[in-house]
This record gives sequence, C-alpha cells and structure tokens, in this order.
Amino acid sequence: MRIQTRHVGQGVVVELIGDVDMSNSPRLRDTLLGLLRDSTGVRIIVNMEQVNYIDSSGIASLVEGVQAARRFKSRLCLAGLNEGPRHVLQLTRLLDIFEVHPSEADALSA
Amino acid sequence: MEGWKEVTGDVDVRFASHPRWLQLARTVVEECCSGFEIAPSSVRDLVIAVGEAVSNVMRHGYGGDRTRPVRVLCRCDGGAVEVEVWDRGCRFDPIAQPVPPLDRRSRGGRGLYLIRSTVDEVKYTREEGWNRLRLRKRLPIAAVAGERGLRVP
Repeated sequence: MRIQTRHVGQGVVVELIGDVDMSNSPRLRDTLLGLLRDSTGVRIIVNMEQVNYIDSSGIASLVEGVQAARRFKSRLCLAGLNEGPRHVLQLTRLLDIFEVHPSEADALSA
Repeated sequence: MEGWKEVTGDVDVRFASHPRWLQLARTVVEECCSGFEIAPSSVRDLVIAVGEAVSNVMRHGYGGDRTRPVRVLCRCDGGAVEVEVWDRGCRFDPIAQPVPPLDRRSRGGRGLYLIRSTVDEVKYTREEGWNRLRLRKRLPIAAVAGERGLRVP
C-alpha cells in the first residue's frame, strides 16, 4: 500500500492506494497519529477509493486514528469506501463510529 | 524450512512467516476460486478469513518471527471451498477461544471474530507439531467448471 498525503484547504487528505494489512497498517497508524499530533484542530480525510481490502489491523489503525482525533479536538473522516472495506467495517460494527463520505470531494465540501 | 507434511490440495503454497506474504496468501484463495463460478461475496469472505488466519499465525503463533513456515492449501470440492492454514507455532485452537465481545475502543481482538463471521466452518487440529486450521465456505449456488477444466465441486 502507498500512502500519499496532501494539504487541501484547511484539511489534510491521506490517500491510501492498495490493500491495507498487517504488513503496512503500522505505517498508516503512524501517519495518522503524526498528523494529529502536529496540529490541533486539523481535519483529516482518509481517501480509500483505491482500497479494496483492509484487515483487522488496518481497521484498528483507523479506530486509533478516530479516537486520537477526538483527543486532539480534530476530525478524521473516511471517503470513497469500496464494498470490501465497508463490509469489514459492518461486520465489526464499527462503520457508525466514522464520519463517512461518498468521495473526497464530498468530504472536502462537507 | 522444517518437515512439510504431505497433504493434497488444488493449490498448495508455502512461504515464510513474513507479513510481506500476506498478499500472496490472499491471492492463492482468489486464484483457486477463479476457476469456478463462485459468488464474489463468497470469495471476498474467504479472503477475509484467510487473511486474518495467516496474520494470527505471524503475529501470535510465531510472535513476529518472520522466518517460520506457513502453508496455505486451497481446494474446491463438494459444494464448498476449503482453505487450510498450517503452521508450526505453539498450539492455538481458535475454536476453543471465547468469542471476544466487539469492543469499539480496542485495538485488537477482531481477527477471530472476522474469521467466524465470514466462513461456515472452522476446524482446528494439531498434527505432528503443526497447527492445522481448516476454513470452509459453502457455495450458495451450483458452481460449474470454468474454462480451465477444473473439477466441478
């Protein structure tokens, strides 16, 4: 998986490209927590349009990110969830803890 | 790597317990299923279960040691797809574990839940120092042989 980070307006887009599993989820966790530590009140949009698979370790990284966002008075949302990741979030009953948008553009304008 | 046990399957892949091979394990299942008309949702669920099972072996069974043997066999037979995950880590029977309550705040504990949620049968045996985990997904529709001439389940 590749992670591309870019600043857009008042937010930061974290674009994930490829499968998220135990081999790379620590990198995702470090990226999210690093961004949240660096600036209070930041808005992070995790663009998952190019992710078709995420395992429980990847889910754990996202959960940790959303929890840290609350601690740092910031926001973390997911954009462009494909069927596979959405299915895993539904199975683990975690979908509703995330702010979810159909696309990055929708998230930016929300 | 140490003493492989002879077992037959349509696909039989052996690799070291390095997380870089997780994608290979998932691909094995997808490729094995690709010769049959299997509902994509069934393949997806099986891939989820196998990914979690192999991750558990790497993280817990081998405690992060990236050099130990892992084996994944996949066969399509009798109206179901069956995947076996073999490892030589310490004895670990996921069936015997209590179903962990889903804790939204927890970082872990979702792997076993996902395995049990996505396949129809999970069987564990310990055989000559190997853990053998069998994951079986029944096929909801009659599968037909694909162009590659694989067996009709």
